Amino acid sequence: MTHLSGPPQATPRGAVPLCGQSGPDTLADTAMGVGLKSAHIVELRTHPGPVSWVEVHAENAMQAGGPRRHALEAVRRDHPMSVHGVGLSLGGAEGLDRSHLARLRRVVDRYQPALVSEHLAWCGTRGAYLNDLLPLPYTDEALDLVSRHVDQTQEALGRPILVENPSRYLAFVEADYDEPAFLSALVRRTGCGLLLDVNNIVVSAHNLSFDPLAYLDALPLATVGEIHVAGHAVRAVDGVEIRIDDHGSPAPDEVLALYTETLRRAGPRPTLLERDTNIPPWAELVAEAGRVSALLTAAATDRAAGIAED
Amino acid sequence: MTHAPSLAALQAAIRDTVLGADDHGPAAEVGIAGLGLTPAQRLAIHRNTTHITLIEALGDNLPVVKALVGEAFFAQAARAFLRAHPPTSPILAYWGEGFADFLTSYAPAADHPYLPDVARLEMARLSALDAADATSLAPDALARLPADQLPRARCAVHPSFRFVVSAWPVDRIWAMHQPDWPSNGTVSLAEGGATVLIGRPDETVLMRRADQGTLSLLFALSMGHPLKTAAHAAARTDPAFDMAWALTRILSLGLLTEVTVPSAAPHDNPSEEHPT
Repeated sequence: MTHLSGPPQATPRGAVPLCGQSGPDTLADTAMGVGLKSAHIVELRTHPGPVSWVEVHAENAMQAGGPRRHALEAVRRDHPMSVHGVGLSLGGAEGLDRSHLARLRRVVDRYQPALVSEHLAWCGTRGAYLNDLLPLPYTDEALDLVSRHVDQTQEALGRPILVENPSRYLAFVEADYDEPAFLSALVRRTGCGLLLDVNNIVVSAHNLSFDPLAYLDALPLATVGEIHVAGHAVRAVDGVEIRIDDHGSPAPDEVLALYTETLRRAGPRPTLLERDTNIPPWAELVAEAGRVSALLTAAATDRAAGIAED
Repeated sequence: MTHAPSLAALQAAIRDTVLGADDHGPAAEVGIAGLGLTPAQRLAIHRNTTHITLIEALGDNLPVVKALVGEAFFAQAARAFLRAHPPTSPILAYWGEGFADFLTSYAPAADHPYLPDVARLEMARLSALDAADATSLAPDALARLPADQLPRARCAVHPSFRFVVSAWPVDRIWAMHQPDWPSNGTVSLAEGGATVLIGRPDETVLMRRADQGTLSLLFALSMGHPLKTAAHAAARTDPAFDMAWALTRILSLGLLTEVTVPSAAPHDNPSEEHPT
């Protein structure tokens, strides 16, 4: 387990108390959020609909000053925020980039997010950042490496992080673990939580032929601190269907069904709708967020009723 | 069982495949399971992601360069650039710093000799946009100083100060591609070059033309030299240098943020007479 230098944390889902005059800093289990797009900042403020929080990519929040930073600061005054890193490269064999970790620390200090997350992936090596979340072989060597990097990150930030399951397009012949076993071991070793991306599970399950429900069953669902919902593209490569995680369309029924099943097993969790390409008008995104939010609220109601019956 | 490569070797091999030629792949060596496809076909999905998203990110950073050459040409140039000079930082907001230099030796762009400087201008504007905040001096801040204090006053330069010196009318080429450009406006490459100062005193990036002397003045001030020394440096660069005009120019751009006058009037430090 990691010994954190920051305030004591009850669970990986806890958040550091917020100082200053920013907005609320914790997320209810039924809180519905969206990935923040600059095109939506004005309407987020005027017509939030069911959207109560936003997620910002850490690498888009590293400005020294200027209008882009001021806009993020204004959003944070109105809404709880999650900082979602895409470039730390927790699986990078060369070790974490200390200057990037220091920048992440400054972003977390500045925006006091309710949640901080990164990916089970690597992003580059030998001086090249490839802007992709590349797959790791699930070996003991990789588990030692990622555990060390999650420890290092949590120590630098003074708080636990959530680690997201990746979209997979390939598997390695040699592996000591499957992905749920790897993630479970990572959680046990580091005390991190999970960011469960149900779209990524659907994408990977298709691309690598596994059963998404068996995958869910094998995860420590109590440590899930956030759920991602998104859509993906379907392509054919040499007649083989491949799902591409492009966040470019509304979440399909298959993803929403797995989301509902996840909520039934894990209970309601703060949920984020991701959309990164083919960005729709705000009204359209809010309508989709409303549909996801209804599933989340229904799961909370069902669970409360279930508890009352016990 | 074959011995799997170390993580470092595996990642280096995948990196080289992603950045390498389309038909190249070390898939067999790194032990990728095909699952109905060849390992190379699976790695190609990752190559596509890297190429498509980086070409798009470069286009987002350099919209005028992209507009000048068109989408297809830009994508081809960007692909060659990312293979030779992949980004080194996960912050893509500034990716493209090396693109101008790349373009100068990129043969297909030889017919567009102004293109590298347009790229430099766009990157300078991006860098100014996200620079640290600072409060600019009022336009009359220096005029209000007692005349005998002015020579030894030191001025801090705004953190957003950037510049481009070009043999082409690079600022007007940029302006042509903005929404407020008049529909009957034209730019001739024969107009001559421009020294362009860039700053972001508030929320908006501003540009003004200046002369080489004004640029020398700003360099000297940003190194901490007093106004008198800075003015000498500017006059050496440009014998026709007009200090009053230059100060008005840079104050109107909000490029000065603080003025301090040492309480005692010291001798000019000889080492400050030769700013480099």
